[in-house]
Amino acid sequence: MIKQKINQLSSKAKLFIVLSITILANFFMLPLTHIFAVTNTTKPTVLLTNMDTSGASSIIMGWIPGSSGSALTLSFPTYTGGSSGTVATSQTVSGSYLGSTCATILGGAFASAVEPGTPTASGNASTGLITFTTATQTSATAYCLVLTGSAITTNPTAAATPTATITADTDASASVVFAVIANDQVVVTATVPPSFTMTLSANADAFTTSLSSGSIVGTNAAIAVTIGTNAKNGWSLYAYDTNSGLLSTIQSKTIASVAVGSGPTTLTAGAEGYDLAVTTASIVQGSGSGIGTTSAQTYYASTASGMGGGLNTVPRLIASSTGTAVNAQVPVKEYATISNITPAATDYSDTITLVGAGTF
Amino acid sequence: MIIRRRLGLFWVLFFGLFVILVVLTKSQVSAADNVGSTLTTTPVSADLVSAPGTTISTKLQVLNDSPIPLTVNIRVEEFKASGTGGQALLYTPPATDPSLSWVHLSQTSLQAEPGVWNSVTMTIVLPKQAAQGYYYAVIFSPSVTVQGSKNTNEIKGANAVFVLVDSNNSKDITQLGVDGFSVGKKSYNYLPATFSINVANTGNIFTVPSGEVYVSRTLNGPAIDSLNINSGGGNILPQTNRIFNLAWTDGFPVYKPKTINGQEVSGKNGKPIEQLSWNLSNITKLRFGRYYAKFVLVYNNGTRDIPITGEVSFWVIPWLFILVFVIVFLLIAFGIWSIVRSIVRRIRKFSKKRR
Repeated sequence: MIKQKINQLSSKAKLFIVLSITILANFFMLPLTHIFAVTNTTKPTVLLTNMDTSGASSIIMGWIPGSSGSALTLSFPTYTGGSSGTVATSQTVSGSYLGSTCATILGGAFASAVEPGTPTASGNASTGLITFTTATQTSATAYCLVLTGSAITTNPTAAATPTATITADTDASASVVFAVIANDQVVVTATVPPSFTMTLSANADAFTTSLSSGSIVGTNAAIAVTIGTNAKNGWSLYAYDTNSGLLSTIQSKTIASVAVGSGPTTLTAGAEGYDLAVTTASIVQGSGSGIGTTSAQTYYASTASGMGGGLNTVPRLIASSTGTAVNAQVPVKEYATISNITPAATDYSDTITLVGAGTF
Repeated sequence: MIIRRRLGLFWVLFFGLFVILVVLTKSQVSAADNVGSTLTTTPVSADLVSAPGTTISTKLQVLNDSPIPLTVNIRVEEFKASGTGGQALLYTPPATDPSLSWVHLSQTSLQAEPGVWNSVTMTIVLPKQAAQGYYYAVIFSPSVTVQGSKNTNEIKGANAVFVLVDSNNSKDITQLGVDGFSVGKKSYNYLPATFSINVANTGNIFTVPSGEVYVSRTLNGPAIDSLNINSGGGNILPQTNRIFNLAWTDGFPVYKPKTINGQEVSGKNGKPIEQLSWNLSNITKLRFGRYYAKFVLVYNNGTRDIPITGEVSFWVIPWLFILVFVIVFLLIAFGIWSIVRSIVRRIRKFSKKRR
């Protein structure tokens, strides 16, 4: 019936009717389009500084509004008081928590976030709604803020996964879920054992030139003995040698050490002698608070060329410290001189052992 | 004949290869050996208690901090106290001393790879006749050989760990006394003030004392500061003395070691150079007048804690500070006096003129 009537209409009439319906439809749908063109808040973030059940917490929040304006709310719908959790009625807004800005804490998309002006806030203990005033926001800008102190006076008494909802200006509400757990702390324990580290810069210590009766010859740049220890009572460095002097196996001759257990002795050119020296001016105390004072033992404290103490096969204290050490350095070198009748040989040498230990 | 020739050639080649390998290995060792070594050992020292007729063990660890693998040899010696600073005198006991034979190491040589901790278990089997204390030094020595060149000494390093064993014998006598408590100077310009406590172990077993030095303004008055006497838990071996040195540094101004880039600077004598530190936040700690230092040393004699006390007094007179203050005060007073005098003179002149 209807089909027949439509068929009876002229083409112009059909065109007129279609156009009229289209125009009318657009006219009536425009207001509806305006109502449903909702903007969204992106990256809603709510961080509780204390996730413990029954705990009080500050709140760190971040969001990127889709609209511009100054209205802002943060809602904890299940925080309706008592065992369900409660938000504080008095709220303090800040940009930082324990000295760190909210942008630093949240990072990521909020690494450059700013505060939305200087808003104030108040909470409703029975609804869990926190309302901000004058929170000036521009769309697509990352914002963050901190509700300091006990913004949440108590979390729920039982572990839960409550929802927090951010509503920025005319944006649709954006929700995030967070956890309230029985214990949000991890106890970290560690043991630092007492230890002692000793480093020798080299194992070979060559005399700079052939020994001569006309001069005192020392070994090259001193061997650096570097000590590191957390032994609070300090440490000691001992030395002994195998030959009690410089031994030539070819000649079966020993250039004997100077007196052991006295001194320091200064060698005289032309009078056979050999000693070990701790060059006091080159002692490095190291760095760090509470380190001990490193000093050479008197018999080996050397302030001049050829000055030092003798060694034999019994370990002798050559340096010590009164406390801990961080890269303390004891420079050790040997001096020798010969007389005119010292037998010639190319194999004069000694083996010195340096023993380091913390005090007992 | 041909087989013999071939066998001869084989042995010549084999010997040649062997020589080349030995030379190569040696040259590698010498290259590595001349770069020094770094060893870390833990603990620094260990105190063990075990009854005669029992066995006790402790774990010692060594770390090779060098960049190359090292063979570390481990041996046990003994030690006794040397001096009064907790230093040891290492020695190899005479053959008649059996105590070294009671000690067993789980290994006496180990291949220490760089950055890897290696454990060595030291077990001491104390016989029934063991009495009082035994003092062992476990020595970890990296094996190095310096390839001979003329006029060259070989320097070896070694770390020692001290192990003190108390056989917990009924004849143990734990007894300490204080031979002296002194202050570095009777009068100081500025802090630190230094104290020395000379503690004697008159018993027959090693003992660890503890305690505090309390600094006060009046004798037996409330303490304004306290210093720990043996914070490191140092032992005193029997029939020896140990001096504990303390420094009271909590003042303004105060001498502190001079540092450059965080490193303490030593003088020609090798000792740290000190300089006055004027930290104004400590201005309330300007020390002036007579002070008292009282020590309370405590040790356990196996039955109860035994306290030992003593005190000394000393003065802190920052005379330079006072001198500068007096000079400034006198200058100001002189200035005021001059101004007043000139005003009085002018008034007198003016009055004379009016007459």
